[in-house]
Amino acid sequence: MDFDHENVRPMMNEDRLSSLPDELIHRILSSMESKHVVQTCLLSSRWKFLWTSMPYLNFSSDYFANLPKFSKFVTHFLANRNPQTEVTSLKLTFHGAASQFFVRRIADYVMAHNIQELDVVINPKRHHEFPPRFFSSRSLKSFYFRSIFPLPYLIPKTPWDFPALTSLSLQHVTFREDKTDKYLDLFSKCVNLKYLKLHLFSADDVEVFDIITPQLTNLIITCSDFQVLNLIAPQLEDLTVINCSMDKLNAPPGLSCLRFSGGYPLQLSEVGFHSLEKVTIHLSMYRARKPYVKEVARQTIDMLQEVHSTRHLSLNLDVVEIFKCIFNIFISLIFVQCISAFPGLILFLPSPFIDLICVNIDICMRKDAYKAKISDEAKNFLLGNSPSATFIMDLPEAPPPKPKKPREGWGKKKARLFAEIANHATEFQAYLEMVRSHSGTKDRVKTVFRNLMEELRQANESVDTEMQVYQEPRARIKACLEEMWAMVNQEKDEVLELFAKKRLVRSMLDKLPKQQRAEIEPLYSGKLAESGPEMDQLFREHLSAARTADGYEKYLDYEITKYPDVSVSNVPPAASQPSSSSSLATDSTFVRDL
Amino acid sequence: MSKKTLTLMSKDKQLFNIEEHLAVQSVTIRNMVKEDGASSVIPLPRVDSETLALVIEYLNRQQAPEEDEDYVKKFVDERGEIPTLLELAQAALDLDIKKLMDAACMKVADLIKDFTLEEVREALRIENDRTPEEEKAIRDEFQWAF
Repeated sequence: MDFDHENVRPMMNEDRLSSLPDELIHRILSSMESKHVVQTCLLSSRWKFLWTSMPYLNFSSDYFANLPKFSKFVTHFLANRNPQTEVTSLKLTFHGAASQFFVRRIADYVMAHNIQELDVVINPKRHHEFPPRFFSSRSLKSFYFRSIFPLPYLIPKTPWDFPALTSLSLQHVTFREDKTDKYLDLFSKCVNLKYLKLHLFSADDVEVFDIITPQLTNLIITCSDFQVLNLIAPQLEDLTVINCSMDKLNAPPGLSCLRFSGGYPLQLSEVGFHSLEKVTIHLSMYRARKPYVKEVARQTIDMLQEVHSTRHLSLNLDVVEIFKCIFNIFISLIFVQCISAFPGLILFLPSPFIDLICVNIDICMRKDAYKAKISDEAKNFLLGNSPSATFIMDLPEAPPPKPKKPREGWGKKKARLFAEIANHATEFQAYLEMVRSHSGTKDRVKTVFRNLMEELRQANESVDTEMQVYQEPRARIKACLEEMWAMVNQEKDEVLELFAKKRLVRSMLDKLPKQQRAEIEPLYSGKLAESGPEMDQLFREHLSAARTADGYEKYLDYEITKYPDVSVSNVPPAASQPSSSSSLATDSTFVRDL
Repeated sequence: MSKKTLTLMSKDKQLFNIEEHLAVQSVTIRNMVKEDGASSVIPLPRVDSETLALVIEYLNRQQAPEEDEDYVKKFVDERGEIPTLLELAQAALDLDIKKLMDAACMKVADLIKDFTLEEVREALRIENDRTPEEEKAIRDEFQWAF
């Protein structure tokens, strides 16, 4: 390589990054995966050992063809790393069992090197025990632990020993395997914990879940399940509970801010909050148009009474958005309507609120908000004892009424309806025949996959050390995946359309007046009923094809890692050849198994 | 009552004024102020005037704390040239302004993440002082990482 021409450049073109302090280089490399960090040793002599004193570690098994290779890398990395350098942070992402050797190895290493920030992402397979070593550290300050799937895995159920920890976030943690626990206390040794976040945390097989944290100020719990949640956290200021299921919440009396959102009101312990500033309550029920039942209304009022000392109160008029996303059903429940629906419940109740400054009725994005009315009783219940409080409920204007269509004569209407039904029924038949003729997607998917495997086998045989050889198989795998999914998706669209057509014909028939229905239904009901089993069969076949494609995709995702993407990798692949013989053996077994 | 102002001097002897309460976001300046009550001019012999102007612009931002993360990201995004970012990161390191340093470093990392080895060398002006044979030897030494 000829660098002579560089020597004539002025001095300002010196090796700028190399002249930067190690600290800065480490910071720049901190977001990169450790394998790529080590590969920077090729850059220049100065870089040969720069990686060995990186205080930020980032291991991910996603960058390795298989777990043994990943494990080997970790062992070498830790053995070659400068043992004098402490580990400031570790991000560890891996799949498979938590009991694997490398997990323990990494845990031992980082805990012995005064780790401060730990971020673990796991993709667990079965009930595997997590090394207890991960749950004990004198130095750890921030811990983020999450699992991709809600599979139960074993983590220590005795209090985790993190005396220096200030911030903890857990996601998808499930305690299900053991129903004998009556009480569970994980955090009482985290004496300095200030921020705790639990998401998708299931402890509903435990009778009482304790959060005993002397310094905790902020707690956020979302989409989690408990029976009784017991907060022994005297410093807690901010509590957020969203879409959780719990029978009872024992909250500390010193709380100043409570945000609650969920399907049912929360049963709060009768502690007598003395410092409440802000309370937000959003309720929603996802059973469409179900009226507020009396029991729930009573609980709602109980909940409001528990928070009577608050100064700012915000209640919703709308649905909770997350429910809308999940169920996609119009949720018809207006919180204020709860109070308005049972005026009897509150008629003789004096307003529990003693010191309100502001009440805000949150309208969010409800389409029918303009219809909302708040009864005098409800208003009185909220504001009776706080005459100077501000009441905010900005209702939108009603949309302009729809212009009425002139009525058509019944005879004309009937003829039109019958023609429409006949039309849709014909289309339904045509669709059925088309889907029938397109069946066999699964076989086509299999063929595409087999052809690809054959091509890859040939490519492997002719593989040489030139790097462009990797690009072609990658491109082919990608193209094959696209082709497979195009076939599956086309079939899906057709099948869905078929079912939609059938439903349409059915519902049009159902909507007809009795007499007309009797007149026309026999023409279609036989065919519709007859098509049932066949359509079910077609649907099952489609699901099976989709599953097959899914399985191939997972396999190919793994397969593609054997062909490094030289177009994006910052370091060309090693000169060593992929071991074509061993991968071939797996390929052919896989195909035979199908 | 007027707020107290500090004067910073860049490598090329340009002077910049900044209010003290903003300047002390830099831990280095905060310590200097504490030690000697901040004499009239604080010299920053390693920071050139262009970079110092950027640092001052950053320190002068009027952002609510909750928008600060987004602001600093946008701030470095708009100065997406690697040499500028490296100067900025170096200055932020010297002045101990952690958020700015982290953001500048992350931006550089983001820009070079898809580069090939040769492109990284070029972008960061690293001179390859090894022969292909030596490079091969390094590859063999760390073959477990390739």
